[in-house]
Amino acid sequence: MSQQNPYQGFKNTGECNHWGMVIKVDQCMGCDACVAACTLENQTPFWNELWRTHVEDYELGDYPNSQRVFLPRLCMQCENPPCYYVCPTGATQIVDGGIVVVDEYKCIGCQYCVEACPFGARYMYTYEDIEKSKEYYGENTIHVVPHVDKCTFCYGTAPDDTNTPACVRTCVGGARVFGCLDDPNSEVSILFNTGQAVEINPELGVGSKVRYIFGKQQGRYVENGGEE
Amino acid sequence: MKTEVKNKMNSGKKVAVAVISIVLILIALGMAYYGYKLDQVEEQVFDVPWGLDVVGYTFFALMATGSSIVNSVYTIFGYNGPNGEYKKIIKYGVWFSLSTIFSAWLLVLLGIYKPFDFYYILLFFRMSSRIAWMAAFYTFFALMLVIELLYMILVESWDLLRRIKYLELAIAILVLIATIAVHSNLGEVFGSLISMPAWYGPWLALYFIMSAIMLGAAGQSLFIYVVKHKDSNLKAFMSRYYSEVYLISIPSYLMYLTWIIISAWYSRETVWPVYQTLLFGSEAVIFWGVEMVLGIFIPVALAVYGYMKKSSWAAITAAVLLIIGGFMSKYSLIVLPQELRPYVWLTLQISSYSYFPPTGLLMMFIGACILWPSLYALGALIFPLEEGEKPKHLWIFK
Repeated sequence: MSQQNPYQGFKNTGECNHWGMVIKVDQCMGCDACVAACTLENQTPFWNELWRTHVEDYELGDYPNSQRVFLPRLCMQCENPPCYYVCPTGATQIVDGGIVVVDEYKCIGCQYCVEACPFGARYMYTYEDIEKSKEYYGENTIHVVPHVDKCTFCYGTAPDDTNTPACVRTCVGGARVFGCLDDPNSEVSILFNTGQAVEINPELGVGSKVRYIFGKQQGRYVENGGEE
Repeated sequence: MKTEVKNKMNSGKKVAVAVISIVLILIALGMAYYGYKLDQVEEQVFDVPWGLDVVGYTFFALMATGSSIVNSVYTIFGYNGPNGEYKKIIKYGVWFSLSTIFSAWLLVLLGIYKPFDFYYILLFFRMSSRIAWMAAFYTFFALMLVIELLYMILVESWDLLRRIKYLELAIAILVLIATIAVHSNLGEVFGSLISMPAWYGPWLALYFIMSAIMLGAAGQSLFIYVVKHKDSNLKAFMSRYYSEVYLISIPSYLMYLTWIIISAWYSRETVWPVYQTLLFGSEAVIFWGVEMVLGIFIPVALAVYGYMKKSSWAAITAAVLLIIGGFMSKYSLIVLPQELRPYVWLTLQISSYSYFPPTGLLMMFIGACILWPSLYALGALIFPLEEGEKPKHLWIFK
């Protein structure tokens, strides 16, 4: 194989072994700037409405106790990723920084990982998408072979030494916090360790490195909107 | 009373059947490849990543492996039939298993997006992946079937083989081990996914084994009837034997399915919507009409009749209905949980996709269906599969 794994050799994650993200749900205003930034950065197939990250809009409860919640979703960068274990060719890899990526050349498109992901964070990047991508991005197209695509925390594409994903850099409400979980003084570590940031579906045992803060409720949505 | 009825076809007829088989095989491969190319440019069904290709693969794979389990009644447990009739059909049974697995392979190979990179599985084998092990076990299974068939053909002319004690039994045991390994691993391909509660758990392997015995017996009986339709004694034996297999396997399957449904009811939130749709919802007509009435209840009645009266038409009709019902039950098992997939975010959400196979996948499936009898017919013509028939050309051919 003369082709090379595009993720090899980047080593852009510095000394950190565990990058993580916290999403402050109350601070997300649903502007979709993160979606746009991610789409441009990673050339995701927006023409098929497939995204590495997207924002879901929920209306919970009944009037007058109703509540509108914007919930950004992305790959949870699991510590124990089901997609990694099921991949038959080793295309899904855990690279430095504990980030789960897909080697596009090794991926055969069996879509076992798509089935295995409990968060629906993966999709197939097809030949048609490559052609579309060429139309939009010309010679700057980054995806050249079909593969299963997913969020990589902008591994290898983040500028300078920031290591920061495009969605975090562009978030106007400061809803996304990114940092090293190995550093006990980083904001993400504090939010993780103090229990403010909660794991979605902890019963799955996958150890998500993307966690959520639900504001007043300190957890999931509650029926009365959190009011006493 | 022993009547020797030989299916003597004149050579002209044989050549015609061989030519038709080869043409059909080429058409099947061409059609499947065209379907694959079409599938590449068609709009992808993102919501249901495993569609008709995986359903068809599971269906053919279960039929092939189930046929091997049925063969083991003779090869391992030594049942010969009242007048040694089983010896007349065993080689056809082994060839049925081997030829059927090719249709499964065709579908699974073209079902992956980059089939020509398939060898990466062996090159970069990941031990934790069930699909990687599937490739390994199927290779082992097919290899063992080839060895078993070769042994059965060669032993007719090589005395040396006959003198090696327990060789036949050893090969047969290895085939059965490979079969059970394949079923267990196939069950885990689905059962290890925590993301799919309707599949999750260790129960699928057993479900596949039970389902495979029904499908394997039905498939091989149907094809062997076609080859042996002139031998009335053998037909009577087959009617009784296969009806007996149906009468053992169908109630076991039905009991297990009932247990699955009851246990799904207890996991109401995530799994029950799938079975609710199947039992009372939009899929109820398919479940009750095709899978239950056509695929289970009528075959049971026909099997009882076939067993009592040694009726060929009853056994053949039961086989056809079991195949149809067996296919639809695999369709429901694989597609429906993907259509009604649960996601727990702020609240539990159940997706409600509606899947219909795209044209490319339909063509691939039809190609595999054409390949199935064509390959079997060609093998029945070129391999010496009759009892006591010695190979005449190139050690293994007629």
